[in-house]
Amino acid sequence: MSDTKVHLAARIATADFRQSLSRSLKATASRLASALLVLLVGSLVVFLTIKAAPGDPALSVLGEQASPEAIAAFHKEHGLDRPLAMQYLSWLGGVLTGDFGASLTVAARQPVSALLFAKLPATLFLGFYALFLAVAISLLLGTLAASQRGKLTDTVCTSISVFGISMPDFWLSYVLIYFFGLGLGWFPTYGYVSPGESLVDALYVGFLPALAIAAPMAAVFSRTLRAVLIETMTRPYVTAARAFGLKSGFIFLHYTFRNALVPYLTVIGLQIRYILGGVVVVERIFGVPGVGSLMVDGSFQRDYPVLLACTIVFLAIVLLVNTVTDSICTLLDPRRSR
Amino acid sequence: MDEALVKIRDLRVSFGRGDAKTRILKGIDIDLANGEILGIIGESGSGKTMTGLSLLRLLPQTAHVEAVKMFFAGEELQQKSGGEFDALRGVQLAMVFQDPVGSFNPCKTIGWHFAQVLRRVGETGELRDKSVQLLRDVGVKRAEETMFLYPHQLSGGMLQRALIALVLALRPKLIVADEPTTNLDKIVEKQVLDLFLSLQRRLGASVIFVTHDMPVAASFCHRIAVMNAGEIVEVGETAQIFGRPRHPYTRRLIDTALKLAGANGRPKENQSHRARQAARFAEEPLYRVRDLTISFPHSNRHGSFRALDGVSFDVMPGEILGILGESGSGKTTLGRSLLRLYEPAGGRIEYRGRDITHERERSLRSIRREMQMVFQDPGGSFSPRRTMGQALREALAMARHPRAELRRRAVSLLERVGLTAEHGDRYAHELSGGQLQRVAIARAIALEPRVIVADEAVSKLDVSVRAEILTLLGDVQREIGMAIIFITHDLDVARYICDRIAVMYHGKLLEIGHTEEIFTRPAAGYTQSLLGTHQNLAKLIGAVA
Repeated sequence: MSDTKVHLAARIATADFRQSLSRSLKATASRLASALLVLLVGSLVVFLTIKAAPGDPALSVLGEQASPEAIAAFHKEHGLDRPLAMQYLSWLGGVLTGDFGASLTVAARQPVSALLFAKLPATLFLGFYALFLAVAISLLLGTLAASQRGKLTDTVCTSISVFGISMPDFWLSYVLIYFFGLGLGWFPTYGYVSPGESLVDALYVGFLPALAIAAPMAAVFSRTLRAVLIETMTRPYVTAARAFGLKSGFIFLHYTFRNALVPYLTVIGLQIRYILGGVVVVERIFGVPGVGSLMVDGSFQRDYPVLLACTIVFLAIVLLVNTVTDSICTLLDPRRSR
Repeated sequence: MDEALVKIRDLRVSFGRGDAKTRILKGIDIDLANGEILGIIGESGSGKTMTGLSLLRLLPQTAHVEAVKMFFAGEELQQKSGGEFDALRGVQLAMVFQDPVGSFNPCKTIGWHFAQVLRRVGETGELRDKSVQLLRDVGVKRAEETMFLYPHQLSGGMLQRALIALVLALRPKLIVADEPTTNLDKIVEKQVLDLFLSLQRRLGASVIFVTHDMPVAASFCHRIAVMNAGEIVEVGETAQIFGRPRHPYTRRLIDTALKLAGANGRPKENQSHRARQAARFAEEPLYRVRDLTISFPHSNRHGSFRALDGVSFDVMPGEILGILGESGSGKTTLGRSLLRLYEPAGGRIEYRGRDITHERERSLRSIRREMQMVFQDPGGSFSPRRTMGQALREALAMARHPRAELRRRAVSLLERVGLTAEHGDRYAHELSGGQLQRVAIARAIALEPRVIVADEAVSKLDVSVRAEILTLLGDVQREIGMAIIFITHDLDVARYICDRIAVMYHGKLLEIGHTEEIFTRPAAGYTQSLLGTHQNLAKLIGAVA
């Protein structure tokens, strides 16, 4: 008798889970579709903005004294004399077949996709490394501050956070290099090791740049986590759990933290773009061969294809991360997944 | 009732220090015997809830608690360390809260909650079977399925049952129940109270029952403690408290409750006479609603949800029409649809002979000036950054009153609702709930409306204040002559103020008729059972005294 009941219960549970999973898959699919649309519109906006900016790639390649004929020939060769709509559509057509065009300035006119393929891994590694550090630091600081609210620990954590928010990442990079690189000699101050070669070395060499990028993020994340945790602690279900005599560590983990997770993750998703912005600057300081230098050079030399491709890739990463965090939030919150 | 389970002497609770110190409890004594149910009654802010929370050491850390004696089962609670107290809480001391929905972790299933609590009391093995049995014991029919559901998928009544089942699992010696049925509908409230009582008998537990509901206290408790402003003004057997109250505050509390209960309510003949008079003079009803259907898109698989299903009725000018029903019956939707806040899916709404069923927003705006709403939560309907005077002047300016007149008119409105000019300079948080509801009424009549929709306008107010606000509403209505649609779930209140009553159930209008007819000869079976749960305080007092 009881067996059949357990059976029934298990069936209901699996059916329920399957239903919620299929629903969240459907939701993810529709989110991805809208992300693609944003990507399309975004690419047009980026294209027009780049074209609207003053400057001419011909001048940076041929030199300031180039003759008008040479410039016109350069434009013709690269299709820059065509109407804007044509240029955009042909670029878009290329992108859909995986062809981002060729660089206007880099030697041997390398295809942009090859450049990206070479440089993107370092940037992605550094970005995720920084994200990981930021999350780890904020989990520690935010939880400490919230649980010790109003006490010395809270004040210290808050001060660290305010410090982190107010320091520009490029300045922090030099400070880190000065103290931990040159002063103490704990970490190398320049260069990059691919995680494919040696993960340990990659983490070691990449620590200072990742920390410089992570610091402001960690500060924002910890402030958010602290606020959300404190807010959740006042919820009636936390008092109810205490009235049941459940252990305070258990209550913190399963009641307070669990319910604070969704708003915390949402903020992380929204802040991803700042990590990418930080990567571009910090890479140059630490001499990491990433997309950052490609992007900065590209914008100085008006290398349209390179600049466009980098921006689009960053936009895609931001959208993808947001879609993923959204889907995780839906799965985590039973009220949203139905 | 042998030895005392709880003995508290001179319990004081305060927040803050020095000048900013606010005393919440000012020296309270409580004695509770084994198996006894002690009711704590009093109005909001009297410290009832704080008493319960301080006993379980659940007050916020900023609270300062001291007592001469705080004995529980022969032990001094104040000497217990945090760890020792944790071991006591839950197992021996348990609490049932007012808000069953908020008492559950929204991210976890009901079954998860049961597993944690059972593990807490040292149960092992097939926790699931035990949980299912516990849920069955409190009358949950589909207990297996319920185990896998999340709190938001269950009704308030169901969750309160589950919460009681959890307390049952703890087998505590003392249960502090803080308004455990206040958020529930009348029919559900009766079931939950009966359940609670049988649980209490089975466990032989003592109960501290905090409530502001006099009929519930009278029918449920052995002894009653009456609290006012942080002090217990009177304590005694239930029969004595209700039959021969000694303290003037107790007397006033019971008198106002009795007044609402209709034992000596205001004469009804005049009203219905007036309504009939008005109906005869104005041949045209104010509203003519026919087959009104309102549906909301549902996020669930069901497609759409019919909040109103073919509702037909008229509203006469100058009458007070009560809309009576449980939560979810569609009474709020009905009130709001009269202001055309929803686009009807079917049927017709005529306002003063004009079809406004699909009227456009732009032209509705001028009509809506003649329709006003008074909401349940008076605090939430005022901007926290504006004074009451500003709010009133804003409403008056909308009614196109001359600028120079505004200030004077605002003051006269405040005086009309029993406040003074001085209240006009205050912000919402500086007024009590009753005062705010007075301002809300003043704001509604500032526009000289033809109809006011009052949605549970007195439900959140204390009993004594409730009577005052109802009287005010009645007076203002007589003076200005607008119609009032009075939405309520409270039978006493409906009987007290309404000329006619419409009974709603699951989006349908079951019956409509004159108040006394509905109360004395209810036609619909549902109305009969609703009235059956109604505990008349006067009769109860007769029974206990």
